Formats: sequence, structure tokens, C-alpha cells
Amino acid sequence: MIEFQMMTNAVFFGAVPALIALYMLKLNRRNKKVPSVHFIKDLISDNKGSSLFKKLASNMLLFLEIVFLALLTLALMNPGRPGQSFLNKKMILLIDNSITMSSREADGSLRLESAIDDAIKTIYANPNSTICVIEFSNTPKLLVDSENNREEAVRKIKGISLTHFSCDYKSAIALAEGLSSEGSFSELHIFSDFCSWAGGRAVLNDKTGVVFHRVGGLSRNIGVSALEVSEESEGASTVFNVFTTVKNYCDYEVSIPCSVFIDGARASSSVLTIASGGAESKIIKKYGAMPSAVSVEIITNDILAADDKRVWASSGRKSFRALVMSEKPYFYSAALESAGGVIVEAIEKNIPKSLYREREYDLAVIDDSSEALLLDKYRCRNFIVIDPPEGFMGMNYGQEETGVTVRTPEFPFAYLKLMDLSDLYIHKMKKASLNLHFSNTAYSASACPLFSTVFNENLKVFAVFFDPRASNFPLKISFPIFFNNAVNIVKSAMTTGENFSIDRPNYFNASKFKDVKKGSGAVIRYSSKEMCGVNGRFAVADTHFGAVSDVGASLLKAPRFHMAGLYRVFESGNEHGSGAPLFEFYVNPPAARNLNVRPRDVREGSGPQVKAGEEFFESSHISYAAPLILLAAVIILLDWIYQNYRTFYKKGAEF
Amino acid sequence: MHFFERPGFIKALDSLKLVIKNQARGIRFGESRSKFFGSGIEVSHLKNYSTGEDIKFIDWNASFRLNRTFIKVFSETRENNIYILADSSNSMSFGSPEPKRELALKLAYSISYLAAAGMNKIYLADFGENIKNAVEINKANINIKFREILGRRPLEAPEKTRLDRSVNSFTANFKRRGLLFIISDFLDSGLSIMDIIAKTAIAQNFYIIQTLCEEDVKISDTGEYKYEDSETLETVEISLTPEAAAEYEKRVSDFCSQLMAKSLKYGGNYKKIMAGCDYMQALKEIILKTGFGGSG
Repeated sequence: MIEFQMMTNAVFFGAVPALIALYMLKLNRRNKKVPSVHFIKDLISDNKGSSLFKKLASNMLLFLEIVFLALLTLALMNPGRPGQSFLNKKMILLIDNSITMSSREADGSLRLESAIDDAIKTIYANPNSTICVIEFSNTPKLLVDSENNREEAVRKIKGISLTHFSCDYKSAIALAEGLSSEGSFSELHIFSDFCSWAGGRAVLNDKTGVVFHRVGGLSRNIGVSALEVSEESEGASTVFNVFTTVKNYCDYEVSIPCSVFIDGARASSSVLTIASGGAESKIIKKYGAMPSAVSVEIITNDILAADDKRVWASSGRKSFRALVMSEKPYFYSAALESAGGVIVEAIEKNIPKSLYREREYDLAVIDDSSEALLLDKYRCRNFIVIDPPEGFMGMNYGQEETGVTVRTPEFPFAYLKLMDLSDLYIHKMKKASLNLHFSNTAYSASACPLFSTVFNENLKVFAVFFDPRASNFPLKISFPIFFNNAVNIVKSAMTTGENFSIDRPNYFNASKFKDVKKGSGAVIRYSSKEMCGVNGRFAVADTHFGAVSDVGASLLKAPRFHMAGLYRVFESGNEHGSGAPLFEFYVNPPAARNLNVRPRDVREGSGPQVKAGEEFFESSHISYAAPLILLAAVIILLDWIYQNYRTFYKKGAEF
Repeated sequence: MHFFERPGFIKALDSLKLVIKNQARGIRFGESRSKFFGSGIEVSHLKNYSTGEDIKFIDWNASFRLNRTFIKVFSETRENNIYILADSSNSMSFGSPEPKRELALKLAYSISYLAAAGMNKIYLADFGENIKNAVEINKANINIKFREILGRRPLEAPEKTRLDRSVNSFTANFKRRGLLFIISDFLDSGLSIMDIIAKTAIAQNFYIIQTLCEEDVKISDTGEYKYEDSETLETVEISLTPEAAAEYEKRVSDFCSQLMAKSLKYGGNYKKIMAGCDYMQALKEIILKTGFGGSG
């Protein structure tokens, strides 16, 4: 592999167009009319060559000069082979097998595997060297000591496996420097992603040459800094807490999808938004047997399942305001915010709760026993109530149940749609006795009500009868889905209760058209005549929807809608009048969205902390600049000879 | 004023006489010797007198000397056929102080004038791609015809000289043997002119007159040039070096030498005339060099 040390000098390639332009100017030949070109043509010896050769030959000078310029520029870029040397030296290879090396790149390669491949290449690129190999995470471990047998060293390097520990460069480098004996020419090669490299050159002894082999893209300088599995007893059962911490080494905030795999299956997938230098931890409970394999993957191209399944509607108002009435509002706020277009307000301790009750919200999330009994005092009429107390809507609690699981993985209710609760396990909860106010109830295997709704003319309440945090309810996935469904239902109730999907076949219920006169058509109009798109503002044409049927007919296929937003249906002929629309409906945005992860290169950062930027890297570099300069000199000599001694003709030609 | 109207030109021509060596093949009486015997001035040979022959032709001197009666047999002088082919292609418009075309016509005029004085039959034709405007010239119409020729406008459309086609066409139309003058720069013909010379030598006695100018024999020493052919408009781009320029000169010179060698080989004659040279001297050489004629 050839590397260029001075890539910036590639700007000299920009001189090529200038050279061509100059040459063209030079080729602005003097026109001369002559009696005959017979003998002049005869002078050109390559008269019988191919047209391509003739063109090349006629531009030989330009060709040679471009080659000269290219060679010179290449030489200035200082190309060479990294680390290749036939010197007899002691190479100490430090291979990082810390937790961050378990990250997988966008091309699917694992950082540790890439590091091992690089290390093996380096070994073979230095055939006369003695090899030492150190694997390191939080503690260094000497694998190979002064080995000349490359196959043996490679075998041991291939045996390096990932750990779940953080990375300590300092101790690893200290060990390596201890190995570099006096008198021998030692060279340190560090194979790492340098996610937590903060020491700069300070940790290095300048007497020892260090070659940094960076693995992984700098654009994803975020890593799993810890992954631990601990055992915990919960009553009679055993639970394993999978504790993972993801750290952001960038000097800017990063949102990145992170998935936890337990025994090969994706146990959790969530988008983590982590501030610069910050870390976020999560605990996933695993019930049953001890997990045999746990891994965390940060996959930039991943699409969060929750995001994929999200639906939303709009009330036509500018915003949807939600209140979180909880002492610990984090999960609720995050789940509500993921719905998009929702302004979330969490209570503050020094403000009386009664003030919040008086304010106008579209939805209130109540995780407060006392407040759950005061719903009538709220101005807001839509609620999500978490773990309500006895007396809530007149219900009672019975005996305490432990080890509650779900009865069915399928939930037919709109507020639970797309939620996968098949593995839901609740350690302990009271069995609620529901009355007629409650409907759409999801029960556990032991007939405990888990979720239910109270829908009447005054209220819309979504109740959760257990504490999600005392269960394995996946807060980062199921909470957003559950909340978004609730938000969607509330929004839809405010408008039409109908939602459609963008760019998919949709179906109108024929009853929608009960006011449409038979035989007339309907016109669907986008609520706003103008729409902002990627190419600027554009007008939205009306859609004529001719299939109008009598009441009681089957579903009517609607056109595909290409834009999300509010649509209004008018009776044909009335669409330009002042009459009210027959009905309105909303078209949802596309289900799948790519998360916008745009981290910057850490080299752009100007913080006091030294990052693992390329400018701190040094490497042994066998330069090809000298032979290139020599070749360039030969080319320019040829150019000169060509200019001064070229002959176009065959000497002594006979007529 | 045309060249033949200039004072001194005709006078200079009058000091020359064209005597054509080859046997005349014309029908009419002329000044050139022919293979026919009959009425004439020059005694061809003597023969024994036969009864009935006109006694005024008895060579008395010979009869008394040899004591037998001899009668003089006269060789008949007839007209000779002179053909002049003058190149009128665009390449002939080069040259200074006078263009090659004018030089060629001056030569054609001079030859016609001298030949007409010797009571010869003269046909003048100019050629480019083919024979154009063949006219018969005699003493009476020579100035009129040359005025017409000189009054013609130069060709606007480029035309490549086709010497082979022109000569073939000419010899096909003018089968009576005579003396053919071809006046051209011969630059476009290249090697093919050698075949034409060989063919022409069978049909006619010939005289190759090559008119050249400075541009024909020399090119610029150095620089980037785009040369355009005056006849075909073909362009050739070249970066010239002094060495290449010298080679060019050598090639043109070699070509001329070979043209002369070939002409002489087939019994013809060759003369190279540069535009701007001493014209009368060159003309004298043409009519003297090969023994065709002499000063009058």
C-alpha cells in the first residue's frame, strides 16, 4: 500500500490545465500558405503511423511536460510504503482489544479484526525484524516476546479476542518501552482506534520510534467504554443486568443508534444522544440463564425500530403541547419528544402543581399517585397515567402478583399497535379490578390488567397498571411507540381520526362520502397551496377523486399521497367556494427515516484536550520521492532532446 | 501593360531564332526540315539523271567532275508542331518579383513567338486538373491570344494539379508528333512525374521547364507553423527546426536533379528557372543548350 505524506501538495496537479492552456497558446501556429505541402508532408516521418500515434507524437512535448509535472507533484506528495523496512529492528506491536474495538464500521468490518490484519501486514513488511506483541485494554499483556518466527507471531495475534474493558495506553506503552532494550533499534506500532487517546506525545518516550496504525473512521469517534454483566437476585428469580456505557469522544454532541445483542438476538436498540465528552449508560435486564454472549454495536446506518414504526398526525395547530407530571420525567420527556412536533414541559419542583393543572396541554403524562386522582381538576383532557393508585377511575387493587408475563403477544388496540411485548416480564404488581369505565384492556397471563384506556366524552386516558421501571419494559423502544400511538390517537381525535400513509395505497371508508351527492366527484386539496421541497417552493395541484359511492359501499381506494400533511375533501364544484369541507384527513410522513448522524472530524476540534488526530501520528515511511524526482529529471531531459534534436523525416529517402 | 507590350521585350526576342532539330511532321510548308523530298532549298543528295527530269535541277559541277549527269534532289521543309503546356494551377501564383504563372506564360509567349517566326504550328494549352483552353497560336494572333490568357481571372476554387491526366489528355487529342514544352513547378507530382516523362517521350519530343520560386525551395528555419496547400487547402502542422529546414531544401534539390536526370534519360531536355532570374539568359539557354536553335 502506498501512502502519501504530503497530500496537500496534490494542489500542484492543478497546474496541468494551466500547462495545457499554455501549450495551446504556444500551438497557436503561424499560418502560412505555400504552393504545395508535398515535401513538408514528406518530412514528417510518422506519416504512416496510426492517427492516435500521430496525435500523441504531435503533442509529444505536452505529453512529456505533463508527465514531468505529474512526477514532480507525486514526488512532492512524498509517496512511500508505510513501515516497510529491511532493517534488523525490534518491533513491538501493541494491539488494542478494548471495548471500543468491538465497534463495527459501516462496511461491516470489526475494528479489532482490522487491527489484527494491519498488524500481520506490518509483520510481513519487516521481514528482518524481531517481533514482540502486546495486547492491551485496561492492562497490557505480553503475547509474543522477541519472536523471529513470523507464523508463530501471526498465530498468536490471530488469537487476540475482545475484552469489555476500557483502554489504558500509558501502561501498555510503558511495558513496550520496558521491552525495548538498550542498543537495539526498537519501534513501537500501536494498532488502535485511539478513541480514548488523550495523552498526546506526553506518554511517549521520544527515544523510541512510534508508528500509529489507526483503525476505524474518525467520523465515528464514539465507543462503548464499558460493558458488564452482573447477577442480581429479585425474589426467587435471578436477573442479569447488562450494563453498558457508551462514550462520546467527539467535542460535539452525537446522536447515534446503539444496539445491544444478547445471545445473538437484538435485545435493545435505541438512539443515544450524548453530549461532547459525555457518556450514557443503560441497563438491560436479562431473566433466565446467564447470557453467553453480549455485545454492543454502534451502527451509523441503523434505523431505530421505533422510528420506523412511528406514526403521527397533526391537529392543524402549530404544536402539540404535553405535560410530564413526574418526579423523574426523563424517559417520558424523551419518549414524547421522539414523536416530533411535540412541545414537552416537565414540572419543576418550586412551581405548585395546581398551576400546571390550569394550563392548557393537549396531553398530560401522570406518574404521580396523588395527581392521578385529580384528573377532573386538569384543564387538559387527555392523559397517560402510569401505575395509578387505588381509586383511580373507581378501580380497586387486589392481591399482589409476582412474575407477571404477557398473555398474548398480539395487541389489537391502537394505543399498543406495533409494540412487541412478547417478552414483557414484571417482577411484582398489584392486580387491578377494572370497572366499566375501562376498555381496550390488555391482560397478563394471570389476568392482571396491564394496559387499558378510559375513553369517554370528557376524557381520554391511557393507563399503565405497572411500573415500567420495575420490569423489562424496553423504555427506549416501547415507550416511544406507546407514547406516539397515544399522541397520535389524541391528535386524530382532535381532527378526523383518520390517517393515511404517504406514497402507499390508502382506503377511504365509504361512509366518509355520505354527504356527497351521488354521481358527483370529490376534490382533494392540500391544505396549503404551496409546499416547501428540496427544490424550493412549489405549488400543489388538486387531486380529483371521482370514485364516490353510496353509503355502505366497500372501502374506496384513494390516490397515493406524495406529501405529508393535512388534506381537505370538497364536493366537486364547491372546492373554490366558501363551503366547509366534507372531511379532512392527514397523511403521515414516510415510515422509515434515516437518522442524521453527522459527526465532524476530531481534527477540526480546537479544545485543549489532545485528540488522536493524524497530525500527531508519525510513521516509518520508505519514500519513493527520490526515484520519482530522478524519473522527472529524465523526462525533462527527453523533453529537451526532443525539442532540439528531433527529426521528423527519414534521412536519405529516395523519390 | 503585359510583358510582351513592354519596350525591348520583342526586340530581345527578335535577336533569337528557334531552330528545331527534329524532323518536321507537319503537312504545310514550313521552315523545318522534314523527311520528305521535293521542292525546297536545301539539297538533300544527288541522283543519276533520268530522261524527262527537269534539267534546271542538274548539278553541273558534279556532272562535269564525275563525267556523269547528276540531278539534285531537294529535301522539303515543312512546318513543325510545337505544343506548349503551361501550368495554371494555384501553386503557380507564388513567386516574386513576378509570379511563376507569369514567368511560365512569358516563356510560352517567347517560345510561341520564336516558333511562329519559323512558320511552325503552335498549340498552347494551360492545365490544372485537366487541359483547359487549348488554342492555336500563329504570328498574327499571338498577342491577342496571350492577352486573353493573361486577362483570365485566377481560379477561385482550389484545384489540384493533375499533370498525368493533363498530359494524357493532351497527347490523346494532339497525336501529330511534335515538340512538347511542359512548363510547371512539378511540385505536386512528386515521383509520379517520372512515369509521365517516360510516357510522353513515346508520343512527343519534350522539354521540361521547371519554374520555381523561393517559397518552393526554402521553408522557414524554426517555429511552429501551419502550412496550407494553395491547391488542395490541405494543412500540415509542423514544429520546424533548422535541421528540418535544411532537409527540406535538400529534398527539393534532389527532386529537381532526379527530374532532370529522368528527362535526359528519355531524350528530352530539362531547364529549371527561378522566378526573378535573368529571363533572357534563361531563354537563351533553353533554345541553345540542347542545340535546338541559335542566335539569329
